[in-house]
Amino acid sequence: MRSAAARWLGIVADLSRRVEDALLVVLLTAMIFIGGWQIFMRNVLGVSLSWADESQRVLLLWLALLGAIAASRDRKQLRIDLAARYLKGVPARTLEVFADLLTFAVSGIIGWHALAFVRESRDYGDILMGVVPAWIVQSIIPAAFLLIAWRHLLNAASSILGHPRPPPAGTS
Amino acid sequence: MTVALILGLLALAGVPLFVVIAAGALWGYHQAGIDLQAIAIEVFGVAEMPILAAIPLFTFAGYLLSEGGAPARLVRVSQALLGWLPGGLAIISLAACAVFTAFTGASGVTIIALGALLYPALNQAGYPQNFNLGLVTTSGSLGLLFAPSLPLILYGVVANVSIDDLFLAGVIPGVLMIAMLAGWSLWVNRKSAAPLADFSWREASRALWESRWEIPLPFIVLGGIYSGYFAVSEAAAVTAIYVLFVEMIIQRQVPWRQLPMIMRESMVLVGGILLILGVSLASTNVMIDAGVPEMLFEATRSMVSGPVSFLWLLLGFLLVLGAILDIFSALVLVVPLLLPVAAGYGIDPIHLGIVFLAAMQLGYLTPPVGLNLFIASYRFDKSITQIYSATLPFLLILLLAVIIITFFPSLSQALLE
Repeated sequence: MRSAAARWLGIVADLSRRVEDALLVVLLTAMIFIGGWQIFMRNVLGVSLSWADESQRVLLLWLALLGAIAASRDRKQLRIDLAARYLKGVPARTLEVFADLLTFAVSGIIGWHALAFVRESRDYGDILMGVVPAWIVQSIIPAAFLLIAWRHLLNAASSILGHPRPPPAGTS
Repeated sequence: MTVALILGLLALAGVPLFVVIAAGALWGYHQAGIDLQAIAIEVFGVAEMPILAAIPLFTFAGYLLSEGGAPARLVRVSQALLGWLPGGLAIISLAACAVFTAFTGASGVTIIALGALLYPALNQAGYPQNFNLGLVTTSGSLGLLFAPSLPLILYGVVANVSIDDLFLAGVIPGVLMIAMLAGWSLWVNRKSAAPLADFSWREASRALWESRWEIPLPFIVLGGIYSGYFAVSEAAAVTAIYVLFVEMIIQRQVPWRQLPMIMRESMVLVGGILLILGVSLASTNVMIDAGVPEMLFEATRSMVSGPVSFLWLLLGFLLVLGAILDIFSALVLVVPLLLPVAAGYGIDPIHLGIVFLAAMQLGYLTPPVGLNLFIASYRFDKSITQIYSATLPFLLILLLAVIIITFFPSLSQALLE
Protein backbone atom coordinates (compact mmCIF):
# COMPACT_ATOMS: atom_id res chain seq x y z
CA MET A 1 0.00 0.00 0.00
CA ARG A 2 1.41 3.36 -0.98
CA SER A 3 0.80 6.17 1.39
CA ALA A 4 -0.24 9.62 0.21
CA ALA A 5 3.22 10.88 1.20
CA ALA A 6 4.92 8.35 -1.07
CA ARG A 7 2.63 9.31 -3.93
CA TRP A 8 3.42 12.99 -3.49
CA LEU A 9 7.09 12.19 -3.33
CA GLY A 10 6.74 10.37 -6.64
CA ILE A 11 5.04 13.35 -8.25
CA VAL A 12 7.68 15.75 -6.95
CA ALA A 13 10.49 13.48 -8.14
CA ASP A 14 8.92 13.20 -11.58
CA LEU A 15 8.43 16.94 -11.82
CA SER A 16 12.00 17.64 -10.73
CA ARG A 17 13.32 15.17 -13.33
CA ARG A 18 11.40 16.93 -16.09
CA VAL A 19 12.60 20.35 -14.97
CA GLU A 20 16.23 19.18 -14.77
CA ASP A 21 16.11 17.55 -18.21
CA ALA A 22 14.39 20.53 -19.80
CA LEU A 23 16.95 22.90 -18.30
CA LEU A 24 19.81 20.76 -19.61
CA VAL A 25 18.41 20.86 -23.14
CA VAL A 26 17.66 24.60 -23.08
CA LEU A 27 21.03 25.57 -21.61
CA LEU A 28 23.05 23.37 -23.97
CA THR A 29 21.15 24.78 -26.94
CA ALA A 30 21.81 28.30 -25.67
CA MET A 31 25.50 27.53 -25.27
CA ILE A 32 25.78 26.18 -28.81
CA PHE A 33 24.07 29.15 -30.42
CA ILE A 34 25.66 31.87 -28.30
CA GLY A 35 29.03 30.37 -29.24
CA GLY A 36 28.14 30.43 -32.92
CA TRP A 37 26.68 33.94 -32.76
CA GLN A 38 29.82 35.21 -31.10
CA ILE A 39 32.07 33.89 -33.88
CA PHE A 40 29.74 35.25 -36.54
CA MET A 41 29.67 38.71 -34.97
CA ARG A 42 33.43 38.87 -34.55
CA ASN A 43 34.59 37.40 -37.85
CA VAL A 44 31.88 38.84 -40.07
CA LEU A 45 30.79 42.07 -38.43
CA GLY A 46 33.91 42.76 -36.41
CA VAL A 47 31.94 43.21 -33.16
CA SER A 48 33.04 41.45 -29.99
CA LEU A 49 30.28 40.57 -27.54
CA SER A 50 31.42 41.21 -24.01
CA TRP A 51 28.45 39.43 -22.42
CA ALA A 52 28.89 36.28 -24.51
CA ASP A 53 32.10 35.05 -22.85
CA GLU A 54 30.70 35.49 -19.39
CA SER A 55 27.39 33.86 -20.27
CA GLN A 56 29.22 30.85 -21.76
CA ARG A 57 31.08 30.37 -18.49
CA VAL A 58 27.91 30.61 -16.45
CA LEU A 59 26.13 28.19 -18.78
CA LEU A 60 29.03 25.79 -18.39
CA LEU A 61 28.73 25.82 -14.59
CA TRP A 62 25.00 25.15 -14.78
CA LEU A 63 25.36 22.42 -17.41
CA ALA A 64 28.11 20.74 -15.43
CA LEU A 65 26.09 20.68 -12.22
CA LEU A 66 22.79 19.73 -13.87
CA GLY A 67 24.67 16.97 -15.70
CA ALA A 68 26.08 15.86 -12.35
CA ILE A 69 22.58 15.68 -10.86
CA ALA A 70 21.47 13.60 -13.85
CA ALA A 71 24.52 11.36 -13.41
CA SER A 72 23.48 10.73 -9.81
CA ARG A 73 19.94 9.97 -10.91
CA ASP A 74 21.22 7.46 -13.49
CA ARG A 75 23.77 6.05 -11.00
CA LYS A 76 26.49 6.99 -13.46
CA GLN A 77 28.86 8.98 -11.25
CA LEU A 78 32.44 8.11 -12.15
CA ARG A 79 33.79 5.60 -9.66
CA ILE A 80 36.08 2.61 -9.46
CA ASP A 81 33.65 -0.24 -9.86
CA LEU A 82 36.11 -2.96 -8.96
CA ALA A 83 34.07 -4.16 -5.99
CA ALA A 84 30.81 -4.06 -7.92
CA ARG A 85 32.28 -6.37 -10.54
CA TYR A 86 33.49 -9.06 -8.20
CA LEU A 87 31.04 -8.96 -5.32
CA LYS A 88 27.50 -10.25 -5.41
CA GLY A 89 24.52 -10.37 -3.05
CA VAL A 90 24.57 -8.93 0.44
CA PRO A 91 28.24 -7.75 0.55
CA ALA A 92 27.79 -5.89 -2.74
CA ARG A 93 24.56 -4.32 -1.58
CA THR A 94 26.07 -3.32 1.76
CA LEU A 95 28.90 -1.53 -0.02
CA GLU A 96 26.42 0.22 -2.31
CA VAL A 97 24.34 1.44 0.61
CA PHE A 98 27.49 2.60 2.38
CA ALA A 99 28.69 4.47 -0.74
CA ASP A 100 25.29 6.11 -1.21
CA LEU A 101 25.05 7.16 2.45
CA LEU A 102 28.56 8.61 2.38
CA THR A 103 27.71 10.48 -0.83
CA PHE A 104 24.59 11.78 0.86
CA ALA A 105 26.59 13.01 3.84
CA VAL A 106 29.44 14.65 1.92
CA SER A 107 27.18 16.27 -0.70
CA GLY A 108 24.88 17.42 2.07
CA ILE A 109 27.74 19.10 3.93
CA ILE A 110 28.94 20.81 0.75
CA GLY A 111 25.38 21.86 -0.13
CA TRP A 112 24.85 23.31 3.33
CA HIS A 113 28.06 25.36 3.24
CA ALA A 114 27.38 26.39 -0.36
CA LEU A 115 24.07 27.84 0.86
CA ALA A 116 25.99 30.01 3.29
CA PHE A 117 28.32 31.05 0.47
CA VAL A 118 25.36 32.09 -1.69
CA ARG A 119 23.76 34.01 1.20
CA GLU A 120 26.95 35.98 1.76
CA SER A 121 27.29 36.62 -1.93
CA ARG A 122 23.73 38.01 -1.97
CA ASP A 123 24.51 40.37 0.91
CA TYR A 124 27.61 41.45 -0.97
CA GLY A 125 25.59 42.32 -4.08
CA ASP A 126 27.90 41.19 -6.94
CA ILE A 127 26.49 41.57 -10.45
CA LEU A 128 27.38 39.34 -13.45
CA MET A 129 26.95 40.21 -17.13
CA GLY A 130 25.86 43.69 -16.12
CA VAL A 131 22.37 42.65 -14.99
CA VAL A 132 22.26 39.30 -13.19
CA PRO A 133 22.98 39.20 -9.44
CA ALA A 134 25.84 36.75 -8.89
CA TRP A 135 24.01 34.88 -6.14
CA ILE A 136 21.32 33.72 -8.59
CA VAL A 137 23.98 32.19 -10.82
CA GLN A 138 25.76 30.67 -7.83
CA SER A 139 22.60 29.21 -6.34
CA ILE A 140 22.97 26.20 -8.66
CA ILE A 141 25.90 25.05 -6.47
CA PRO A 142 23.94 24.39 -3.24
CA ALA A 143 20.92 23.27 -5.28
CA ALA A 144 22.98 20.68 -7.15
CA PHE A 145 24.79 19.30 -4.11
CA LEU A 146 21.59 19.10 -2.07
CA LEU A 147 19.76 17.34 -4.93
CA ILE A 148 22.68 14.93 -5.36
CA ALA A 149 22.58 14.23 -1.62
CA TRP A 150 18.84 13.64 -1.78
CA ARG A 151 19.21 11.37 -4.83
CA HIS A 152 21.78 9.16 -3.10
CA LEU A 153 19.63 8.95 0.00
CA LEU A 154 16.87 7.59 -2.23
CA ASN A 155 19.35 5.22 -3.91
CA ALA A 156 20.40 3.91 -0.50
CA ALA A 157 16.77 3.40 0.46
CA SER A 158 16.00 1.54 -2.73
CA SER A 159 19.10 -0.66 -2.31
CA ILE A 160 18.02 -1.52 1.24
CA LEU A 161 14.57 -2.38 -0.09
CA GLY A 162 16.22 -4.73 -2.56
CA HIS A 163 16.34 -2.97 -5.90
CA PRO A 164 19.89 -3.63 -7.11
CA ARG A 165 22.04 -1.24 -9.09
CA PRO A 166 22.14 -1.89 -12.84
CA PRO A 167 25.27 -3.74 -14.06
CA PRO A 168 28.27 -1.45 -14.50
CA ALA A 169 29.89 -2.79 -17.68
CA GLY A 170 29.05 -1.28 -21.01
CA THR A 171 26.75 1.32 -19.60
CA SER A 172 28.87 4.24 -20.67
CA MET B 1 49.02 9.42 5.40
CA THR B 2 46.24 7.62 7.27
CA VAL B 3 43.72 9.95 5.66
CA ALA B 4 45.08 9.19 2.20
CA LEU B 5 44.88 5.48 2.93
CA ILE B 6 41.27 5.72 4.09
CA LEU B 7 40.34 7.76 1.02
CA GLY B 8 42.06 5.20 -1.22
CA LEU B 9 40.07 2.40 0.38
CA LEU B 10 36.83 4.34 -0.02
CA ALA B 11 37.61 4.82 -3.71
CA LEU B 12 38.30 1.12 -4.16
CA ALA B 13 35.06 0.29 -2.38
CA GLY B 14 33.18 2.09 -5.14
CA VAL B 15 32.36 5.39 -3.46
CA PRO B 16 31.88 7.98 -6.27
CA LEU B 17 35.23 9.64 -6.90
CA PHE B 18 33.94 13.16 -6.45
CA VAL B 19 32.89 12.19 -2.91
CA VAL B 20 36.29 10.75 -2.09
CA ILE B 21 38.04 13.87 -3.39
CA ALA B 22 35.58 16.24 -1.72
CA ALA B 23 35.90 14.39 1.58
CA GLY B 24 39.67 14.84 1.37
CA ALA B 25 39.27 18.55 0.67
CA LEU B 26 36.75 19.01 3.51
CA TRP B 27 39.09 17.25 5.90
CA GLY B 28 42.01 19.43 4.77
CA TYR B 29 40.02 22.65 5.19
CA HIS B 30 38.81 21.52 8.59
CA GLN B 31 42.39 20.77 9.72
CA ALA B 32 43.61 24.13 8.47
CA GLY B 33 40.72 25.96 10.17
CA ILE B 34 39.35 27.22 6.84
CA ASP B 35 35.60 27.77 6.49
CA LEU B 36 34.07 24.89 4.52
CA GLN B 37 32.39 27.45 2.25
CA ALA B 38 35.74 27.47 0.47
CA ILE B 39 34.79 24.30 -1.38
CA ALA B 40 31.77 26.04 -2.94
CA ILE B 41 34.03 28.88 -4.02
CA GLU B 42 36.39 26.39 -5.66
CA VAL B 43 33.51 24.68 -7.48
CA PHE B 44 32.47 28.11 -8.73
CA GLY B 45 35.99 28.27 -10.20
CA VAL B 46 34.73 25.96 -12.94
CA ALA B 47 32.93 29.04 -14.26
CA GLU B 48 36.22 30.91 -14.47
CA MET B 49 37.86 28.78 -17.15
CA PRO B 50 36.49 29.82 -20.55
CA ILE B 51 38.17 26.92 -22.33
CA LEU B 52 35.99 24.39 -20.47
CA ALA B 53 33.04 25.35 -22.68
CA ALA B 54 34.69 23.17 -25.32
CA ILE B 55 34.00 20.04 -23.29
CA PRO B 56 30.17 19.90 -23.40
CA LEU B 57 30.12 21.12 -27.00
CA PHE B 58 32.55 18.53 -28.37
CA THR B 59 30.99 15.77 -26.29
CA PHE B 60 27.50 16.56 -27.56
CA ALA B 61 28.75 16.72 -31.16
CA GLY B 62 30.44 13.34 -30.74
CA TYR B 63 27.31 11.73 -29.30
CA LEU B 64 25.15 13.14 -32.07
CA LEU B 65 27.60 11.97 -34.77
CA SER B 66 27.54 8.54 -33.23
CA GLU B 67 23.72 8.40 -33.20
CA GLY B 68 23.44 9.84 -36.69
CA GLY B 69 25.06 6.89 -38.44
CA ALA B 70 28.45 8.54 -38.93
CA PRO B 71 30.30 5.40 -37.76
CA ALA B 72 28.76 3.29 -40.54
CA ARG B 73 29.60 5.92 -43.15
CA LEU B 74 33.15 6.20 -41.80
CA VAL B 75 33.65 2.45 -42.09
CA ARG B 76 32.24 2.41 -45.61
CA VAL B 77 34.61 5.13 -46.79
CA SER B 78 37.65 3.47 -45.25
CA GLN B 79 36.61 0.10 -46.66
CA ALA B 80 36.20 1.58 -50.14
CA LEU B 81 39.58 3.29 -49.98
CA LEU B 82 41.64 0.61 -48.22
CA GLY B 83 39.75 -2.66 -48.74
CA TRP B 84 42.10 -3.79 -51.52
CA LEU B 85 45.12 -3.73 -49.18
CA PRO B 86 46.23 -6.99 -47.51
CA GLY B 87 45.21 -6.60 -43.86
CA GLY B 88 43.27 -3.59 -45.05
CA LEU B 89 40.19 -4.13 -42.94
CA ALA B 90 42.32 -4.34 -39.79
CA ILE B 91 44.00 -1.06 -40.68
CA ILE B 92 40.60 0.44 -41.46
CA SER B 93 39.42 -0.51 -38.00
CA LEU B 94 42.40 1.16 -36.38
CA ALA B 95 42.08 4.35 -38.41
CA ALA B 96 38.31 4.66 -38.15
CA CYS B 97 38.35 4.07 -34.39
CA ALA B 98 41.13 6.62 -33.89
CA VAL B 99 39.24 9.33 -35.78
CA PHE B 100 36.04 8.52 -33.98
CA THR B 101 37.63 8.44 -30.52
CA ALA B 102 39.26 11.81 -31.12
CA PHE B 103 35.77 13.26 -31.54
CA THR B 104 33.95 11.33 -28.83
CA GLY B 105 36.54 11.62 -26.09
CA ALA B 106 37.58 8.10 -25.22
CA SER B 107 34.67 7.21 -22.99
CA GLY B 108 34.17 3.67 -24.23
CA VAL B 109 31.60 4.78 -26.77
CA THR B 110 33.91 3.79 -29.65
CA ILE B 111 33.71 0.08 -28.86
CA ILE B 112 29.95 0.28 -28.60
CA ALA B 113 29.37 2.34 -31.74
CA LEU B 114 32.15 1.17 -34.08
CA GLY B 115 33.05 -2.20 -32.62
CA ALA B 116 29.54 -3.39 -33.34
CA LEU B 117 30.15 -2.70 -37.04
CA LEU B 118 33.77 -3.75 -37.31
CA TYR B 119 33.84 -6.95 -35.30
CA PRO B 120 31.33 -8.86 -37.47
CA ALA B 121 32.95 -7.44 -40.61
CA LEU B 122 36.39 -8.65 -39.49
CA ASN B 123 35.01 -12.11 -38.67
CA GLN B 124 33.29 -12.30 -41.99
CA ALA B 125 36.46 -11.32 -43.82
CA GLY B 126 38.15 -14.38 -42.32
CA TYR B 127 40.46 -12.84 -39.74
CA PRO B 128 41.01 -15.04 -36.66
CA GLN B 129 38.41 -14.36 -33.97
CA ASN B 130 40.81 -13.64 -31.12
CA PHE B 131 42.74 -11.21 -33.30
CA ASN B 132 39.48 -9.39 -34.06
CA LEU B 133 38.45 -9.21 -30.42
CA GLY B 134 41.85 -7.85 -29.43
CA LEU B 135 41.89 -5.38 -32.28
CA VAL B 136 38.43 -3.97 -31.59
CA THR B 137 39.03 -3.75 -27.84
CA THR B 138 42.35 -1.98 -28.37
CA SER B 139 40.95 0.41 -30.95
CA GLY B 140 38.42 1.70 -28.44
CA SER B 141 40.90 4.03 -26.81
CA LEU B 142 43.15 4.66 -29.77
CA GLY B 143 43.07 8.24 -30.95
CA LEU B 144 42.90 10.08 -27.68
CA LEU B 145 46.15 11.79 -28.65
CA PHE B 146 44.42 13.38 -31.63
CA ALA B 147 42.60 16.72 -31.58
CA PRO B 148 40.03 17.53 -30.37
CA SER B 149 39.96 14.71 -27.83
CA LEU B 150 38.54 15.54 -24.43
CA PRO B 151 41.53 14.26 -22.41
CA LEU B 152 43.89 16.51 -24.40
CA ILE B 153 41.71 19.54 -23.70
CA LEU B 154 41.37 18.64 -20.04
CA TYR B 155 45.14 18.23 -19.68
CA GLY B 156 45.61 21.66 -21.21
CA VAL B 157 43.17 23.14 -18.70
CA VAL B 158 44.65 21.42 -15.67
CA ALA B 159 48.30 21.93 -16.59
CA ASN B 160 47.65 25.44 -17.93
CA VAL B 161 49.50 24.84 -21.20
CA SER B 162 48.47 25.79 -24.72
CA ILE B 163 45.83 23.43 -26.09
CA ASP B 164 46.79 24.29 -29.66
CA ASP B 165 50.33 23.08 -28.88
CA LEU B 166 49.00 19.91 -27.27
CA PHE B 167 46.95 19.15 -30.37
CA LEU B 168 50.10 19.39 -32.50
CA ALA B 169 52.24 17.47 -30.01
CA GLY B 170 49.85 14.50 -30.08
CA VAL B 171 49.99 13.94 -33.84
CA ILE B 172 53.26 12.02 -34.30
CA PRO B 173 52.97 9.88 -31.13
CA GLY B 174 49.37 9.05 -32.10
CA VAL B 175 50.36 8.09 -35.63
CA LEU B 176 53.23 5.98 -34.24
CA MET B 177 50.79 3.98 -32.11
CA ILE B 178 48.52 3.31 -35.07
CA ALA B 179 51.42 2.46 -37.38
CA MET B 180 52.86 -0.07 -34.93
CA LEU B 181 49.47 -1.74 -34.45
CA ALA B 182 48.91 -1.74 -38.22
CA GLY B 183 52.30 -3.36 -38.75
CA TRP B 184 51.44 -6.05 -36.26
CA SER B 185 48.07 -6.65 -37.94
CA LEU B 186 49.75 -7.10 -41.30
CA TRP B 187 52.34 -9.46 -39.83
CA VAL B 188 49.75 -11.66 -38.05
CA ASN B 189 47.61 -11.94 -41.15
CA ARG B 190 50.42 -12.29 -43.68
CA LYS B 191 49.33 -15.86 -44.48
CA SER B 192 45.63 -15.47 -43.89
CA ALA B 193 43.29 -16.21 -46.73
CA ALA B 194 41.16 -13.14 -46.10
CA PRO B 195 39.92 -12.25 -49.56
CA LEU B 196 40.78 -8.81 -50.79
CA ALA B 197 38.19 -6.52 -52.24
CA ASP B 198 38.98 -5.05 -55.63
CA PHE B 199 39.35 -1.34 -55.57
CA SER B 200 36.31 0.16 -57.22
CA TRP B 201 36.18 3.79 -58.24
CA ARG B 202 32.42 3.53 -58.25
CA GLU B 203 32.15 2.32 -54.64
CA ALA B 204 34.86 4.77 -53.52
CA SER B 205 33.09 7.73 -55.04
CA ARG B 206 29.71 6.59 -53.70
CA ALA B 207 31.11 6.14 -50.19
CA LEU B 208 32.84 9.49 -50.34
CA TRP B 209 29.66 11.13 -51.58
CA GLU B 210 27.68 9.59 -48.73
CA SER B 211 30.17 11.02 -46.21
CA ARG B 212 30.63 14.35 -47.96
CA TRP B 213 29.26 16.23 -44.97
CA GLU B 214 31.33 14.52 -42.29
CA ILE B 215 34.68 14.47 -44.08
CA PRO B 216 35.17 18.26 -43.93
CA LEU B 217 34.63 18.30 -40.15
CA PRO B 218 38.23 17.68 -38.99
CA PHE B 219 39.42 20.27 -41.51
CA ILE B 220 36.92 22.84 -40.31
CA VAL B 221 37.88 22.30 -36.66
CA LEU B 222 41.64 22.18 -37.05
CA GLY B 223 41.78 24.60 -39.97
CA GLY B 224 39.74 27.11 -37.98
CA ILE B 225 41.98 26.82 -34.93
CA TYR B 226 45.32 26.98 -36.71
CA SER B 227 44.33 29.73 -39.11
CA GLY B 228 43.36 31.83 -36.12
CA TYR B 229 39.69 32.18 -37.06
CA PHE B 230 38.55 30.78 -33.75
CA ALA B 231 39.77 29.60 -30.36
CA VAL B 232 39.39 25.98 -29.21
CA SER B 233 36.14 26.62 -27.35
CA GLU B 234 34.74 28.44 -30.38
CA ALA B 235 35.79 25.58 -32.63
CA ALA B 236 33.69 23.40 -30.35
CA ALA B 237 30.65 25.63 -30.88
CA VAL B 238 31.20 25.55 -34.65
CA THR B 239 31.48 21.76 -34.52
CA ALA B 240 28.28 21.44 -32.52
CA ILE B 241 26.34 23.71 -34.88
CA TYR B 242 27.75 21.99 -37.96
CA VAL B 243 26.98 18.50 -36.63
CA LEU B 244 23.48 19.58 -35.56
CA PHE B 245 22.84 20.95 -39.04
CA VAL B 246 24.27 17.92 -40.88
CA GLU B 247 22.71 15.19 -38.77
CA MET B 248 19.33 16.77 -38.09
CA ILE B 249 18.63 18.68 -41.30
CA ILE B 250 20.66 16.96 -44.03
CA GLN B 251 21.16 13.30 -43.03
CA ARG B 252 18.00 13.12 -40.93
CA GLN B 253 18.77 9.70 -39.41
CA VAL B 254 18.05 10.98 -35.91
CA PRO B 255 14.41 11.85 -35.18
CA TRP B 256 13.98 15.28 -33.56
CA ARG B 257 12.27 13.85 -30.51
CA GLN B 258 15.42 11.84 -29.79
CA LEU B 259 17.61 14.94 -29.70
CA PRO B 260 16.83 15.95 -26.08
CA MET B 261 17.77 12.43 -24.98
CA ILE B 262 21.11 12.64 -26.79
CA MET B 263 21.77 16.04 -25.25
CA ARG B 264 20.99 14.71 -21.82
CA GLU B 265 23.11 11.57 -22.23
CA SER B 266 26.13 13.59 -23.31
CA MET B 267 25.68 16.00 -20.39
CA VAL B 268 25.65 13.11 -17.90
CA LEU B 269 29.23 12.32 -18.93
CA VAL B 270 30.20 16.01 -18.88
CA GLY B 271 28.60 16.51 -15.46
CA GLY B 272 30.42 13.50 -14.04
CA ILE B 273 33.78 14.79 -15.29
CA LEU B 274 33.34 18.45 -14.36
CA LEU B 275 32.00 17.66 -10.89
CA ILE B 276 35.25 15.83 -10.23
CA LEU B 277 37.19 18.75 -11.70
CA GLY B 278 35.31 21.18 -9.43
CA VAL B 279 35.98 19.35 -6.18
CA SER B 280 39.54 18.52 -7.21
CA LEU B 281 40.26 22.25 -7.61
CA ALA B 282 39.64 22.34 -3.85
CA SER B 283 41.60 19.21 -3.01
CA THR B 284 44.55 20.35 -5.13
CA ASN B 285 44.71 23.58 -3.15
CA VAL B 286 44.61 21.66 0.09
CA MET B 287 47.44 19.41 -1.06
CA ILE B 288 49.54 22.30 -2.33
CA ASP B 289 49.07 24.17 0.97
CA ALA B 290 50.11 21.04 2.80
CA GLY B 291 53.27 20.90 0.67
CA VAL B 292 52.42 17.56 -0.94
CA PRO B 293 54.21 18.29 -4.28
CA GLU B 294 57.46 19.10 -2.41
CA MET B 295 57.14 15.92 -0.36
CA LEU B 296 56.52 13.91 -3.51
CA PHE B 297 59.54 15.49 -5.17
CA GLU B 298 61.74 14.69 -2.17
CA ALA B 299 60.43 11.15 -2.04
CA THR B 300 61.03 10.68 -5.77
CA ARG B 301 64.51 12.15 -5.56
CA SER B 302 65.44 9.70 -2.86
CA MET B 303 64.45 6.89 -5.24
CA VAL B 304 65.65 8.12 -8.62
CA SER B 305 68.24 10.66 -9.63
CA GLY B 306 68.04 11.51 -13.32
CA PRO B 307 65.18 12.25 -15.71
CA VAL B 308 65.50 8.85 -17.41
CA SER B 309 64.95 6.83 -14.27
CA PHE B 310 62.21 9.28 -13.26
CA LEU B 311 60.40 8.60 -16.54
CA TRP B 312 60.59 4.84 -15.93
CA LEU B 313 59.13 5.33 -12.47
CA LEU B 314 56.46 7.60 -13.93
CA LEU B 315 55.51 5.03 -16.58
CA GLY B 316 55.12 2.29 -14.00
CA PHE B 317 53.01 4.56 -11.83
CA LEU B 318 50.79 5.65 -14.74
CA LEU B 319 50.18 2.10 -15.90
CA VAL B 320 48.91 1.12 -12.46
CA LEU B 321 46.93 4.35 -12.17
CA GLY B 322 45.38 3.88 -15.61
CA ALA B 323 44.26 0.39 -14.74
CA ILE B 324 42.23 1.52 -11.74
CA LEU B 325 41.19 5.11 -12.42
CA ASP B 326 39.39 6.57 -15.43
CA ILE B 327 41.44 8.99 -17.48
CA PHE B 328 39.44 12.10 -16.54
CA SER B 329 39.68 11.62 -12.79
CA ALA B 330 43.35 10.72 -13.09
CA LEU B 331 43.99 13.90 -15.07
CA VAL B 332 42.44 16.33 -12.62
CA LEU B 333 43.75 14.57 -9.53
CA VAL B 334 47.28 13.60 -10.43
CA VAL B 335 48.49 16.12 -13.00
CA PRO B 336 48.67 19.11 -10.60
CA LEU B 337 50.89 17.05 -8.27
CA LEU B 338 52.94 15.56 -11.06
CA LEU B 339 53.76 18.81 -12.88
CA PRO B 340 56.10 20.35 -10.30
CA VAL B 341 57.86 17.03 -9.75
CA ALA B 342 58.38 16.51 -13.50
CA ALA B 343 59.53 20.11 -13.84
CA GLY B 344 62.14 19.37 -11.19
CA TYR B 345 63.60 16.78 -13.58
CA GLY B 346 63.43 19.21 -16.49
CA ILE B 347 60.54 17.52 -18.29
CA ASP B 348 58.51 19.74 -20.58
CA PRO B 349 54.82 19.97 -19.54
CA ILE B 350 53.62 19.32 -23.11
CA HIS B 351 55.74 16.18 -23.34
CA LEU B 352 54.53 15.14 -19.91
CA GLY B 353 50.95 15.49 -21.14
CA ILE B 354 51.52 13.26 -24.15
CA VAL B 355 53.29 10.64 -22.03
CA PHE B 356 50.54 10.83 -19.43
CA LEU B 357 47.74 10.32 -21.93
CA ALA B 358 49.56 7.65 -23.92
CA ALA B 359 50.22 5.66 -20.75
CA MET B 360 46.68 6.16 -19.49
CA GLN B 361 45.43 4.83 -22.81
CA LEU B 362 47.16 1.56 -21.98
CA GLY B 363 45.29 1.56 -18.69
CA TYR B 364 42.04 1.00 -20.59
CA LEU B 365 43.45 -2.39 -21.64
CA THR B 366 45.37 -3.45 -18.57
CA PRO B 367 43.98 -6.47 -16.72
CA PRO B 368 42.32 -7.02 -14.40
CA VAL B 369 40.19 -3.87 -14.44
CA GLY B 370 40.82 -1.88 -17.65
CA LEU B 371 37.51 -0.36 -18.67
CA ASN B 372 37.61 -1.35 -22.34
CA LEU B 373 38.12 -5.00 -21.40
CA PHE B 374 34.80 -4.99 -19.60
CA ILE B 375 32.95 -3.02 -22.24
CA ALA B 376 34.21 -5.43 -24.91
CA SER B 377 33.32 -8.46 -22.80
CA TYR B 378 29.83 -7.08 -22.34
CA ARG B 379 29.38 -5.87 -25.92
CA PHE B 380 30.66 -9.00 -27.69
CA ASP B 381 29.40 -11.42 -25.06
CA LYS B 382 32.80 -13.06 -24.48
CA SER B 383 34.34 -14.10 -21.17
CA ILE B 384 36.63 -11.53 -19.65
CA THR B 385 39.54 -14.01 -19.66
CA GLN B 386 39.18 -14.53 -23.41
CA ILE B 387 39.29 -10.75 -23.83
CA TYR B 388 42.44 -10.58 -21.65
CA SER B 389 44.31 -13.07 -23.80
CA ALA B 390 43.03 -11.65 -27.09
CA THR B 391 44.14 -8.14 -26.13
CA LEU B 392 47.55 -9.08 -24.69
CA PRO B 393 49.65 -8.87 -27.91
CA PHE B 394 48.14 -5.48 -28.72
CA LEU B 395 48.80 -4.32 -25.17
CA LEU B 396 52.48 -5.29 -25.46
CA ILE B 397 52.86 -3.44 -28.77
CA LEU B 398 51.24 -0.33 -27.35
CA LEU B 399 53.51 -0.60 -24.33
CA LEU B 400 56.50 -0.55 -26.65
CA ALA B 401 54.98 2.48 -28.43
CA VAL B 402 54.50 4.29 -25.12
CA ILE B 403 58.10 3.59 -24.12
CA ILE B 404 59.30 5.03 -27.43
CA ILE B 405 57.06 8.09 -27.02
CA THR B 406 58.32 8.62 -23.48
CA PHE B 407 62.02 8.46 -24.22
CA PHE B 408 62.01 10.32 -27.53
CA PRO B 409 60.52 13.70 -26.58
CA SER B 410 61.40 14.88 -30.09
CA LEU B 411 58.34 12.93 -31.30
CA SER B 412 55.99 15.19 -29.37
CA GLN B 413 58.08 18.31 -29.93
CA ALA B 414 58.73 17.94 -33.68
CA LEU B 415 55.63 19.76 -34.94
CA LEU B 416 55.96 22.50 -32.35
CA GLU B 417 59.21 23.85 -33.72
